[in-house]
Order: sequence, then C-alpha cells, then structure tokens
Amino acid sequence: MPSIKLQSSDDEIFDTDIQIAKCSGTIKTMLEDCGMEDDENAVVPLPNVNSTILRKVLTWAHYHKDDPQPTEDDESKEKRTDDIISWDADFLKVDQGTLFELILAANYLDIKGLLELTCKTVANMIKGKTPEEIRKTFNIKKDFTPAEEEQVRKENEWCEEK
Amino acid sequence: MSDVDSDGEAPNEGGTSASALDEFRESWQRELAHGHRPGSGTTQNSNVTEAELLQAKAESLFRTAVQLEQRGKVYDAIPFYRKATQIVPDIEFKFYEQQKLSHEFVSNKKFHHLAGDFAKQLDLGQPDATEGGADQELDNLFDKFHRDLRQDSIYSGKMIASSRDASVLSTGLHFSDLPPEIVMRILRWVVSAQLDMRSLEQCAAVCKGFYVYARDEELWRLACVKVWGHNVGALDAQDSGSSHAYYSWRDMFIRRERVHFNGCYISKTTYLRMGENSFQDQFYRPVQLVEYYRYIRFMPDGKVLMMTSADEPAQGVNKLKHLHNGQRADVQRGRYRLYGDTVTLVLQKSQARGTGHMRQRRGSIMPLEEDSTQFLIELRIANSPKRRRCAQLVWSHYTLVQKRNKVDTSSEFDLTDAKYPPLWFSAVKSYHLDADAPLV
Repeated sequence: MPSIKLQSSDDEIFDTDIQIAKCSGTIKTMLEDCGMEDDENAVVPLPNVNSTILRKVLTWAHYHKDDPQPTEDDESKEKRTDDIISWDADFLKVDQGTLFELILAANYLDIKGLLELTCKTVANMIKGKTPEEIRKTFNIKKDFTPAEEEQVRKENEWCEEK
Repeated sequence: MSDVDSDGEAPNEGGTSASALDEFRESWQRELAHGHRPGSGTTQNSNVTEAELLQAKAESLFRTAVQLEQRGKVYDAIPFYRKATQIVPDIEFKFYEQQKLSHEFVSNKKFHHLAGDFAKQLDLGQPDATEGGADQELDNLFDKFHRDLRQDSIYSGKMIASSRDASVLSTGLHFSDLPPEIVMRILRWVVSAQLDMRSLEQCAAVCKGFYVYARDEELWRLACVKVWGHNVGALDAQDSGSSHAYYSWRDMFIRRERVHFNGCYISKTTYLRMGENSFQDQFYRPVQLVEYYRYIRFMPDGKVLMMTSADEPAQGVNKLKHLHNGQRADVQRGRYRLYGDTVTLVLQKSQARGTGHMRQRRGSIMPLEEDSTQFLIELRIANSPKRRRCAQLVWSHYTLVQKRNKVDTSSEFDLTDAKYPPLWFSAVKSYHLDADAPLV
C-alpha cells in the first residue's frame, strides 16, 4: 500500500496509508493538484491540526475507511436512524474542548462524515435542554438584560407545551 | 474605476447612497490629481479614509444583496453583489471578516445605516421582525443583539461570551471558538429532519449570540419548506383563500395552519353495544362498553401514521414511535398534504405491501397497484383558545376507495360526533430525543 507522510502543527510525522489520508478532501485535492501521489517521500504539512487531534482523526478515518458512500436513496436514509454506532460513541467520549477541536479539524481537512458526526453529537448535547442547562453545559455567559430575557421568553412562548 | 462610474447609479438607489458615491468620487479624483499618497487621503467633511468609505459602501451594497437573497429575490440581489465586487473585489471575504471583527468605523452611524436605507427603499421591511402580536417593548432584538455583539471590549470579535473564570487558565476550546458556519451546521442538527423548533427556540434564549444564530432566516425557511412542501409559497403570498403576509419565515412557521410533529393527535371513541341476551335469564341484558383510541402521527417529510387501538395513550403512542423497524400490522401508513386549514391524508390498507410506492416524494402522483384499498381522510385544523395553536383536528371527510379490476368504488363514512370525535394533540417527549438527520 502506498503511504504518505502527514505533518502535524507540532511537527510530528504520521506515516499514513494514502487511501485513508484521502478521506480528507483537503489532502486529496492537495495530493492530486500537486502530483504528490507517486512521491514516497512527500510530506503534507497540516499546520492547523496538532498531533493529538490528528491521531484521533486518523483513527476514525481508519475505522471508517470501508464505509459505503452515502447515497441519496430514501431507503438507506431510513436505515441510518441509529447511526451513532457504539464505536463512534466510544470514539467521541472526549472532553468538550477535544470535541470542538475535532470539529475544527474535520472542517479544515474536509472530512464530511466526521464533521457530521461531531456536529450531531454537539446538537444532541443541546436538544431538549433548557437555556440554563445549555449555558451550564457549554460554559456560556448569559448576556441578556432582564428586559431582553423577558422579551425572548415572550417571543418563544408559542412553542411552550401547555 | 470607470466601472463604478458607469454602474454606480441604480434605479433603486436614493439620495444617501448617491451622494456618498459622488462624495467619494470627487475626493478620489482629487487624490489622483495630487499624486498617490496612500493613507493620507481624508475627505473634508468626514474623518474617515477613502478606503474605508469605499469599503463601507461596498459592504452596504453587499449586505443589501444578502438581505435580498435571503428573501429569495436572487435576481434582484445580483446587481448589488456585482456592484459591491466592482468596488471591492474581495468584498465577500471582507464582509465575513467584518461580521466577526468589528472595525472602528462600523460604529459610525452613517455607514451603519446605509444598508438599512437601501433595504427601506426596496421595501424589505425589518429583516427579522418579531411576530405581530407580541408587544414591541424593545424594538427588534435581532438588530439590537447584532449591534451589541460588535462591542469589542466585551465580545472581542466572538459571538458568545464564556462564563469561565478568566483568571483560571483553560486550554480547551470554547463554543465561541467555532466558526459561524459550524454553529449553523450544529443548529441544523438541533432542528433535525424532525423540525424540533422548540429546541431551536431554547437555544435563542441562551445568549445574544445564540439568539442571532437561532433566528437565522434560512433555518426557518427550510423548516417551512419541509412543512408545506410545494405549497409553501412566498412570505407575502396568498394562502389558499385567505390572504396572509408574513414578516419572516419564522412568523410563517408560527402563525400558518399546520400540524404538529412532536407528538400525536389522539381521539377517544366510546360507544355502547348491546350484548347477546342470556339464554336462561331473559331479564339479563348485557351491555358492552367499547372504548378505543385513534392515533395519528404526522412526519415532517409528508408521511403519516394512523392507528386505532384499545391501548391507553401511554402505551399507544409508543407503537408509533419507530417508523422504520418493520411494518406493524395495526398501523396504517400513508401521506398527507396541507391545503390552507385542511390536511388531507391518503392511507393504504394496513396489510397492503405499501413500501413499493411509498418512496415517492410529496407532490408526485402515487402509483397504485391493480387492486388496492385506500382511505382518504380530510381533517380541518382548528384552534382552541385554551390550548396551543392547531391542536385540534376535526373530521370533514372520510372515504374508502376500493379499486378492483380497474373499477373504483368509494364509500363515505358517516362522521357522527360519537364515532369520530375531534382529535387532540398531545406532545410525546420520546419522539424527539435524538437527531437522526440534519435539516436540509
């Protein structure tokens, strides 16, 4: 298997299978545009990703390398209802900071599957919570004045369960 | 610069913008005449540099274009985009930066209101007006929060303030470190394909930054498209019979008649049936009390499930919880559409193998098998003063259509109040726990 060297922001080199590296749209384009595919000693610098995160991303990519490409077919969509499978769930048992770093890395590296997975994880941390619970979960400061808060409450009254 | 000269006067522009442009043009030529001295050129009557004036002008054009596009007026938006890029070629990038990092001159009222002026001339109204009925104590929170978030001293260019103790060094990333497009991506997952707008509204109540994100018109527009499908129309369109104009997509989502997704519509039918007389005791006349419930659950993608069952709601709603795991024999499946204040359901007979023709999207004609049985139901969406909007469905038609050897026979059900009482909505929490697909 041909491999490729990826260099993290803290200068660690990752020898990576080219097929796995290519799940990143960014790396794929880089390799194809620069004609680096056949060059064994080519090093792809990734200045926006540190080694800890890059290692996690590559672990994920390795596990998901055989995933079928998502199709537009309605039927396959219906089957994916429970698709944070247990491996992914375990993979994402990380602290919030790491989760956000994974999101940024997936965004930068253009790995759609990982980006959707991580965004969905954050969304599920938000869903069904009260504003105060959301603030607590993400350490967010309430910056409303009492009058503003009251008006937002009024605007949102329509969806309160009665 | 000749591009700007020839293109500068658009029919929609009024005095403010034109004079700003003239002013700029004059001083620009003056500067050219004096030789190029970058940085030193300031206009006489305002203390901003020309580059800034130029960019502010381009930005306001760009902002107007964005507002137009958000309202679906793409063609109207294009000339504004074009003009903006003619003035500052990389305006899109700069505009984006501008939204994050506020420059000093944004506080300059003159530029700040340029966009508003264009918007007013085009009669766009307020970008995110609050719903009509609400008291307007503070005018337009969206705009106010937008302004507030530009204050560098508090937000330092970010949308969300951290509650972490600033003196304690923390290395982990905060929510505010995520770029706007990621936050929007997350919010699409929060809303999800199930249109959990309640969770989105909860987000809006978290802080100013979240409010601005959660009031994003595109999210609400997508939600409206999901609910009304092809019939969604435009904000100022006529809604089959009664005419409505909506302030925003959010306003439409809240005020227009629709069905709720985060629960079930339930009715209880009770009737008495005379039992068989006893053979031995002529005076014993058994009477049976028959009690059953009807459940209807609507999905945002146009699907609907209906079930009649003797189960109490506590158990009954669970049977409609999972849509995909196999065909339950007692659940009828079909599709529905909204027309004004009526919702029309087409249901297949439960034992029919329905999967083959269920795949069609809303709006396409449903191909039928040779012999089939269909239930056509028409329900009127009603409001009751005590409950939330659209909480009641009243029967208006119920027809059984049987197709045998290419001959349709249809029979109407007699919709007596006793047998077909109105259905009432009740929210079911477990229907909305996890996102299964983002809003698209």
